[in-house]
Amino acid sequence: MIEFKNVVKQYPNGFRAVDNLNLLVHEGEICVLIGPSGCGKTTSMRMINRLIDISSGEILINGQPNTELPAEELRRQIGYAIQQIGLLPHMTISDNIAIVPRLLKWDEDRIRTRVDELLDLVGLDPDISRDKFPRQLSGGQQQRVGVARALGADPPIMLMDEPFGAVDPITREVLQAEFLQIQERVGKTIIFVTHDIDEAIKMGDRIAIMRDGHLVQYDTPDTILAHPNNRFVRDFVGTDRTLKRLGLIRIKNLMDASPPTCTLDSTVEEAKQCFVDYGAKSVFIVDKDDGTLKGWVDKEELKTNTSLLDAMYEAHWVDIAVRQDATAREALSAMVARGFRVTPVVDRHGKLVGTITLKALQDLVSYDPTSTATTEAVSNVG
Amino acid sequence: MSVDKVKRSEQKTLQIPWAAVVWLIISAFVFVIGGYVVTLRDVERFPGDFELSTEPTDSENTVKADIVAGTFEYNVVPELSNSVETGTFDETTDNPVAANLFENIPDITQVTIEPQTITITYDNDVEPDMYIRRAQRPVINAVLNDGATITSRVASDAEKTLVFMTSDDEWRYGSYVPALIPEGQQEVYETREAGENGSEMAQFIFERINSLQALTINRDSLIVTYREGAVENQVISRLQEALNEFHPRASLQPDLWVFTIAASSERIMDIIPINTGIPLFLYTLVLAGIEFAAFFSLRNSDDKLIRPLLRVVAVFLFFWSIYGHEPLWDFTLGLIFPSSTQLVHPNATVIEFTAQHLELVFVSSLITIPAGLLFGIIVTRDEFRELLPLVNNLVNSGQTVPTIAIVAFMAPIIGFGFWPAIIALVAYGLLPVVRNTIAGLEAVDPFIIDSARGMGLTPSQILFQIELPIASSVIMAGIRTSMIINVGTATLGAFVGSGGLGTPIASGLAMTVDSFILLGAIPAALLAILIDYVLGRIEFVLTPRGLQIEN
Repeated sequence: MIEFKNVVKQYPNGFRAVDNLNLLVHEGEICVLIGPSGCGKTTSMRMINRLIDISSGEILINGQPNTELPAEELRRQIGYAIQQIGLLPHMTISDNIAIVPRLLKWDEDRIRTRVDELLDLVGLDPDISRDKFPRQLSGGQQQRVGVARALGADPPIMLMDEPFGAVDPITREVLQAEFLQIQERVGKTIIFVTHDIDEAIKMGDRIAIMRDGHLVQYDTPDTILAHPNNRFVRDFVGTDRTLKRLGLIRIKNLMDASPPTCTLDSTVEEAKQCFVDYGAKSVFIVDKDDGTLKGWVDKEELKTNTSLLDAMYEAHWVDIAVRQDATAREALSAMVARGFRVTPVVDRHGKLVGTITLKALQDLVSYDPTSTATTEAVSNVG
Repeated sequence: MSVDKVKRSEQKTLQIPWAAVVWLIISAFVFVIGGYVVTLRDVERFPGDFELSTEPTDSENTVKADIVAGTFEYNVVPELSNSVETGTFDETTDNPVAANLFENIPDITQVTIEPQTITITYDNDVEPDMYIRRAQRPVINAVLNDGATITSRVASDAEKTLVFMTSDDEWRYGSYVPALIPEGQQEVYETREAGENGSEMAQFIFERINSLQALTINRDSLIVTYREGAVENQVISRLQEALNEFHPRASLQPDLWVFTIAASSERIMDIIPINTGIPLFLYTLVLAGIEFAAFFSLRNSDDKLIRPLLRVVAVFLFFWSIYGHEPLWDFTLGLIFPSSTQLVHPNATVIEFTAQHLELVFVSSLITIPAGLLFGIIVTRDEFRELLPLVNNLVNSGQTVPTIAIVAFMAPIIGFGFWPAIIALVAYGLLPVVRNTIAGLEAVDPFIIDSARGMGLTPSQILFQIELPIASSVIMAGIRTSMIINVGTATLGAFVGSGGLGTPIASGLAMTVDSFILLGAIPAALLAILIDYVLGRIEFVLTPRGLQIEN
């Protein structure tokens, strides 16, 4: 738990980089500090491990002021990862990761085990990477090592200053996803600085939006998107914040889990009965044995065809369905692209597990009275 | 990945132990050169020109050419017959030794010659140490003795008096006649044909003089019969030329050439040819073997220490033995200046000059490097960063002032010798070290330092574990530059008597002996290359492997 209490950072020229900041970061949460350049987010983060001195106020870590320990000792207990990574080019990857454990005088066996464990954790093969030098790694691999190094001595708190900022967007998304998985396992208290609102929404348990050294809004991503405090936050999160909110929700929490289904060897009568039962316009056809989605059939087609196989639109599930672990935003995108009002949801083997309707997505976001523009847009697309 | 592996295995099969091959080539080269360059026992240099006196003989078209004298150098140590007349002499003396001294040393009032001591009293205001240096050479020359055995000092009991002493029994002087063949032997060639198949000297003379018909070579004379109609004077002068030309060859063919001292001493100097390259040849062979062994035993390991250091030591010893090989320098300079009578420097051997030179370079570097590192490190610490421009200007100005000016300033203040030269070298060599230390430390990525601080490294841990290792190659480059500059600059120290390779250059310029200039210049140039190589390898060893990998 990290607590900022009336923290001020004032420079000799009178400029207040951080002005009376009060913030409580809960244990095991990712708190994203975000705001435009010069808003004091990095300064606030660097005051936690005293890379920058506090002018007044105090920062409590688990109830203790962070000035109690000598600065170096304090820093050894707090993981630190920055955008530029700062790997030591003259040391091997394992030596880089072992820096803090060595400072803490761990014995070498323990360090070796820890290094391998961390390399594994961040998705690098220890046998290949261990003795390499930073210059022999790609940017993404270096970022992974940077994260592994910050985790080196298993610190309860991590400070991360745009740790995925220096890689291409695709690698960044991969790293973000992997980091979230890691966080699920390690459960650190993390201060995460970024200027990318999408990253903040994706990574943060809570987001602290800062401006000119002040905290403007501190809340969960969903609340911030749904109820921006003021115009600044609304502008900052962007006019597409409804879409961003959709990005927070997984399809499996939203779908109708009992879709109208027939198997490939069903008769036309059975299918017709299915339309009646569900009151649906389309019925999905699955494989009888493993439930894999094979296509769908429209009500009109059944009138003219005597065989279900002749009536159905046959398609591979990849082309017509969305995965159940996709976000609502991805589902919306797929529906808009394909012109569907209803789209099937499958698991990763292609087994039909439910359906999602455009209406459901709309309902999800339309309770927000400030987001009418977005809702209209969604309706128009539909 | 698989492509990578294929490439690597291909490289492996193509690898050749180049270092070992190079050493093998060098050893062959050394063997050949060493066969030519011969260390002469008992005599360091062969005497110079021959003087012939001719007398008519009874037979027609025949003349007897007696070798009456050969000049010789003071560093030749023949035992000479005539002891120097002892006594006290003034300017009007006709004692040859004393007269020689009065002629060559200015402002002497009195010379006293005793069997082992020459005492010189002079009258001027020159520093005694300077004066003794000025007088040394004429004294050695005057008594025709071996320079190395004469010691000199300023008399402690009498003012303005210099004392020269020898460790030999007595001063000696005199002249000698070189002998063409050993005592009691004679070579007789009655026809041209016989001469053209005769000894090497006979072949040489017959080849040069077309009108020669018969030749008898005695110990110290030649009896020459020439073709009817040939001009006698021309025959004599060709003979003279031929003998003088044959002389430089003597150093390559020592078994052909025997000298005796004329007058009372009949001692024959034995000249035994030795392939002086043998030890060096064996040494290079061993090195080739070691390189082969290292190549095969270490080729699969990432050795970054043993082989470079091995090579450094090997190359240094190799160069050092070349410096120590006086006959080689004599031989080389003889090739460049065939007619010069003075080749190697009489005062000291090349290796002595080089050792003095290295001493200058190393002592100055021992001051320059720690001081430069310290300055560079201090001014890049946040607390002292205001000093950065000041230190920059200071070391810059050190290099702006010409070395010779610093030397000239220092001489009147702290006198002549070693230390004024050191001060000049330090002033001059500081800049590259300080500048590169600053540049190297400033070039360390600030984010690396930030992340290190963030992980809890202390400032000194950051300096020693991160900044210095990362900056090491830049700093080493500065040290390298500084030392190379100092090798060149140290030659100027000779002007204040610091010794070193500048000494032969300075005396060569003063006495217009070209060979002395090269005797200083060539070893100095070699030394610069050698030190650059050694430091380059050390730089390679010190540079962390992670930094040697290209991005």
